[in-house]
Amino acid sequence: MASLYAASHLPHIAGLERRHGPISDEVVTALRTLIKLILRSENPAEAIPFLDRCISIQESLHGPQSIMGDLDDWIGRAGHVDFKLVEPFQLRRLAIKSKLFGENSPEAAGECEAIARRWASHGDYSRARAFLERNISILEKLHGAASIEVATSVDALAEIGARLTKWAEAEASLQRSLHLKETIFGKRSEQAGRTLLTSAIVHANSSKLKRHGARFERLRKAETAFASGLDIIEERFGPDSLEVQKALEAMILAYLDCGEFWSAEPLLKRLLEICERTYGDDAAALLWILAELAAGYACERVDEAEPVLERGFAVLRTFLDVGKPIFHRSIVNMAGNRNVLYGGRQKGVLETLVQASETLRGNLRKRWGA
Amino acid sequence: MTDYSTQKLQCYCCGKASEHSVLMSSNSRGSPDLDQRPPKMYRWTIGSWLQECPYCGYVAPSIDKGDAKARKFFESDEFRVASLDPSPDPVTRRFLVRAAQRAYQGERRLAFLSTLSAAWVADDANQPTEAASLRLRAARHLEGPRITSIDTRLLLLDVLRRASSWEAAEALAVELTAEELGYPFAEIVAFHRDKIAVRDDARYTISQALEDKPPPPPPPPTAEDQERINAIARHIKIIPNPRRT
Repeated sequence: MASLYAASHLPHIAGLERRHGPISDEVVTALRTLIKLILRSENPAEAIPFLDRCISIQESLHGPQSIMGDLDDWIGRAGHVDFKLVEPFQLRRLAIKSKLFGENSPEAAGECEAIARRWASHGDYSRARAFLERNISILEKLHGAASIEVATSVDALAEIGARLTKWAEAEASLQRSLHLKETIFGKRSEQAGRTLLTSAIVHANSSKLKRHGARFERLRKAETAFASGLDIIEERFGPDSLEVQKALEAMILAYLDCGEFWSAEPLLKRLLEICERTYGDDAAALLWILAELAAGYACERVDEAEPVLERGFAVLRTFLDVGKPIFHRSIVNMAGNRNVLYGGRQKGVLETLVQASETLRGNLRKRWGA
Repeated sequence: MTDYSTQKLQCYCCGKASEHSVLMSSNSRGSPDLDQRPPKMYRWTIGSWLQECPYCGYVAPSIDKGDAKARKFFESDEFRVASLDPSPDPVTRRFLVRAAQRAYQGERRLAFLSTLSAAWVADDANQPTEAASLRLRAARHLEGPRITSIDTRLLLLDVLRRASSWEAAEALAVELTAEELGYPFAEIVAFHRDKIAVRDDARYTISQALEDKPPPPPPPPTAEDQERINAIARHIKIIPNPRRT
């Protein structure tokens, strides 16, 4: 027994059992106190045997609904406990909610989603999916098959699939989500546009491990979905809007992550143009775009790499000369501010520029006969 | 082996469709010239490097592609002036229109390169006067703020020498010599200096410039490098690992 509190409290609980009987409110109260102490300063997993005993006694004395508080308290604090140990208690809570509120109640649906998310955090897609499908089935009965609630849960299923790199499953869920969004909000809705953009990123990622033919097909699907999604976002927010910038950036990073510079290149050029207009020609917010373009060109197109690289270093020098350089992870409200270095999920611009410069030097020597 | 395909393309600017010969593949054998003019057979594909819409005159590597900047140039007076260039050769004119677009967009290196390509067309047509004139025109695109790029300045050096612009060529060669560029750049600059000294404006290849000038031997390994080499050798089991013996 690792719990220090258990060692000191169990003799006291044994005494209560002798005085009031093992199935008594007094024993439940003492067990609850022990559980609270463990939760306060020890590993919540240490409380499992006492929780199990506590809720068994409580349930036999006052019925299943009376143990909800105990389950909520412990589950709420057991975030870091191995979910295999937590799941029996969440299943018990689901069973109680189903009995109290009905099999197809919002409470049961919420519990299914919570269990699904925990399995997803644990990396078990098939179990996560089973509970989310149950959640979706309940929501369909409650709100109708084409409802915002169902679409939100289908999105959650897609998100979990993508997070656990189950690309085929994520693609299927996004297809389902797109159909729902188009039915609920309309074919040209912002929601449909965003789902298309997410689909494009998933298609690009799913190309990573594919053979050449399948890879090309996935990339083509990514390009088509992205063009359709961006078209809708442009229509709703404007061609230079922050929403368009974010969409371009997300797709660029997905392509670069897959080693598809030439798919990212036209988007990088387009984003560069937008950022030049929005933030200024020498704004530090352009740096990551220039760095990625330079790195890509340095490998194959010396002619195009040099000016981009030179411009990148010039912008970097200007930025470092300003009085108070600032770093931001978000580009919101930065229009016109030239002194903000923007870095979303990109790696360091200096490293990228220097690596591009080294690659270019090597390729230049080859070009001139070395 | 050079291979072309005929494709019907819709112009990015006017939307009209026209047929174009698109270069599908080509190879090259030998060394490029000192201005990076490619060797044959790729050199002979120069006529297909740029396409031109027969309806509106839009010029691009693929006329079905473009961007906002290209459209802006297409609607400018500069485009109209460039399109009316009196050059009798349509390939030369296409390169000059492209150069005008690059200059309009402030991309002077790319303007220089497009004009240099026009000079190569004149070279192939055996028109040395026209070629020299186009080289001077290319060089003018690089006037203004100092250029730091080694690549661009090496190209410019050859362009100035071939156009017999001796003073400018000599000044640039001196500037490059002072920079201790290392192999192979320094050897190429030295080759140019020799040719400038005797007022030689002929065409030379990179391999001619580097003839009998082998790359310097790599520096001897330092103690640290030797340790690394030993570690790698142990790893691939050339030398038994002393810890295991």
